[in-house]
Amino acid sequence: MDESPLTRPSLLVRLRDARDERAWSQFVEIYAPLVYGFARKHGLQDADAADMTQDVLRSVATAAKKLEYDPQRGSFRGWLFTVVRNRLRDFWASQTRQCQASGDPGLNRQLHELPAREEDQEAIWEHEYEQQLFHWAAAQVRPAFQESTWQAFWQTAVEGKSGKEVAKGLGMTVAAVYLAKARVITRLKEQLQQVHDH
Amino acid sequence: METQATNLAQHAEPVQAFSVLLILAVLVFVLLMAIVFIAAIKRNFQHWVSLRKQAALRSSCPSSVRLKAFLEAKTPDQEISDHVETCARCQDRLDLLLAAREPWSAKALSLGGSPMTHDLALKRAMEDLKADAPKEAPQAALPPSNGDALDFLSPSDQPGHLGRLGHYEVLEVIGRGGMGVVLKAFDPGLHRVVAIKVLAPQLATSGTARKRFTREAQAAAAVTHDHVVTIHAVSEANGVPYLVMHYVAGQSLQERLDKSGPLELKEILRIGMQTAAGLAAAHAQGLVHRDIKPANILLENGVQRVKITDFGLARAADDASLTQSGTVAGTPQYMAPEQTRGELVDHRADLFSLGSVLYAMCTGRPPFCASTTMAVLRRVSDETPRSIKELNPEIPDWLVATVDKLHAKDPADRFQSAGEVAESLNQHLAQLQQAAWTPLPGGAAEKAPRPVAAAEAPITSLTICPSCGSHLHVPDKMVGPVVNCPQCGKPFQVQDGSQEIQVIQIAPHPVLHLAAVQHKHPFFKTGPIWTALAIFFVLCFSFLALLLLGYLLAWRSAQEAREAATVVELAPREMPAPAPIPMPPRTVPTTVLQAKLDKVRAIPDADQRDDALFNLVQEAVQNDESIMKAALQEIRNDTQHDGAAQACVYFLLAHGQNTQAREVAKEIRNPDRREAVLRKVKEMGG
Repeated sequence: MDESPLTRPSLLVRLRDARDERAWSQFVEIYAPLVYGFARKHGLQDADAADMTQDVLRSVATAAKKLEYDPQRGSFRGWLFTVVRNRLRDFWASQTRQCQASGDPGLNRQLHELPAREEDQEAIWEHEYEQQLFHWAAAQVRPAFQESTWQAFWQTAVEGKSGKEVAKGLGMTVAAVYLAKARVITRLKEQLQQVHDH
Repeated sequence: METQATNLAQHAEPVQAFSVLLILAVLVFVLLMAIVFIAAIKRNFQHWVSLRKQAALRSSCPSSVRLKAFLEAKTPDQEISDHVETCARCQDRLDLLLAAREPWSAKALSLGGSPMTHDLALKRAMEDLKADAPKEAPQAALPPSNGDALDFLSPSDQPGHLGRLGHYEVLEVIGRGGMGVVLKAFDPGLHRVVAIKVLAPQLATSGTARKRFTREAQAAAAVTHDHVVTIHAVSEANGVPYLVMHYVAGQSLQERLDKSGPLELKEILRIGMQTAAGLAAAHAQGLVHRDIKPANILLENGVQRVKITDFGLARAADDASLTQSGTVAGTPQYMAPEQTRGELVDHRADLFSLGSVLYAMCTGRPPFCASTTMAVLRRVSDETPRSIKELNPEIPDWLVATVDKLHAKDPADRFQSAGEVAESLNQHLAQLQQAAWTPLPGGAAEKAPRPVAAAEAPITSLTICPSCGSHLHVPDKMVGPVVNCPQCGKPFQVQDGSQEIQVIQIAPHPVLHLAAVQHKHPFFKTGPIWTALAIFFVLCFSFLALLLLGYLLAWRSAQEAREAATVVELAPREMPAPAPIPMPPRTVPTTVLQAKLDKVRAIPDADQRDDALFNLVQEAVQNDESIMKAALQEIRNDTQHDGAAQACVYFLLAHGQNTQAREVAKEIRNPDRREAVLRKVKEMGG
């Protein structure tokens, strides 16, 4: 997706530079909801999920800074997935043990059934990553545009309406809708290139 | 006659009713067909009109290049702007152009919004995280990019090689760590692949670190053991010290844990036992590793052999980093408490770390976890880790006890030698293998490297179905003909798709391949609607034909019925007609002869009656044979009057009926008269 991976340092490379504080906050904005959402979808309470998110992000960032993460071996999000999965497994292991102690076979079984097949989980993870990245970039870029410009993009690209329909609804010319869409896409693309993890 | 008339009326009435019904049905059908036909024509006409309109617009459509320029221009081209307003085709083209630019896939948009951003717990966690960026001072000092890390290499004359270090041909970088870079290299002298560890340049600037690096490496080189990575050489090139080691093809225990989490008990024992044995050998040489951790334990591919690497090097790094920043280098999670406090360290520190490694293999995570280095150091020094049993109930008590003993804060409370640990683990491993051995489940199998996100195949040309909006891949040679959209089935003309868009990676609609669609001449439209219409018309016509046929048949049978009725009426007048005998034209009616016969019979005198009968026979022979026969019978019955019989004989002879004449003559009673008449018959040739 990113056309110039060599000219633009990825977020993770920037993360290694302690002076780049923006990199860290972007990193948190993108990956924290991802990890948190994944943990919640696997049945963690909000406090547990928040703790796990903090824990995972800190340790992962530390490891990324130490260059222990090697981009040659796969994408960062793939690596993050492994870390999150292991954390979840640990969490379930302790929960299962507690359940066995409390003697609740129903809950116990439920906990065992929760983790889906690994490939499915990874597909869900990828899907959520893509969604999260898009919505993050959208939130970043949106203030830079007028509301009508943004709506022209959103309604055509996300809601799938035709250019004609949207033009009618917003009182714009059809050409203006397409121009607005083109401008927002260009801007979003730039935003995504800054942070995209290959 | 009366019954005949009613019969005729009964036939005629249903025939008439049927014809009326038929005519009505035909009229209704014709009307329906006309409506359908008009509707079809109208539809076709509208389609044709829209096609004409499109064609008219198309002639003024801007080229793809201009359209692209339009999207990128600061001030939009008014002409194109106006055109786009009305041209549906150009709107589709713009949709396609923009779809090709979208750097996300359709599934990223499948949800209305990011659902988690409004979660309070997440918000707080994010704020905490943002406020507290983890800072790793010694690591931050490392050069941020990898590009200049290999400056110390001399250029190589071998194509594809990274460079040369000493006489080693460097093939690739296999790892980077706090200590420096690990390279895979080829030793041309001994024709073998080696691993070379280069002290990080910023560490190499410290004289103490360099000296210690060399000294510790030399000491480590003295250890030769199956479970310790053999050191081939310690050297220095271009001012950078490096270490040449045996190359181990495989993964580190850390990688293994990252991939598959907690290990099987048998694996834990095997790796733990071999690590302990390797440590025992090193300790016997008086060498302390000081940085036993999963990343320094290598698992060789194929053979079940563990090799410890990086002996004594941690100390060199310590010296360097301490002088630089005053903090502890490396991962402190596996350190011994005495190390974290900076106290004097002996071989029992390695045993504590071994305990941590065992713990990590049992649970999949290091025993002392915290978000910052300082917190980890504090935990190692003061706290007991979470119980192994709590994290993995399958670990047996004796192993938990072993790890607990290794984790004693006071070195004196631990096992006193690595050999002891190796022996203990070995015994349990032997027991485990002797016990009913069941094959390991696939869980321990290594997972194949994660495939990169499936790359969408580049699509060379696309067009949009005007009816349903599906994105269609169009082979270049297909441009021009009318095809049916594989998605909705509606026909449309393929436009100059090949020049429109070169590559679309992600389309919001499924991209369908049109290759399977056959070329169709535009004249024969073959959409399902056309097929249905054709079938309908054929059915209508055949139905109509059947109706007409039925009507014709009904009319025929009605006609026949009428004819039959006429015949019944006429039949009684003609029936008495006798078998036709060639006769001269009638002069006397039969009824008159009958009346004459009756009169003749009533004559009382026999001779008069005979004469009258003879006359009647004569008359009847010319007129009516039945009357003649009746008269003759009358003559024969009258046996006393031979005159009549003689007259009859002569009459019969005159009419050539000789046989019958002789029969009548034989019946004449008077013998003389009989003889004379028979003679006369003979003479006449009878």
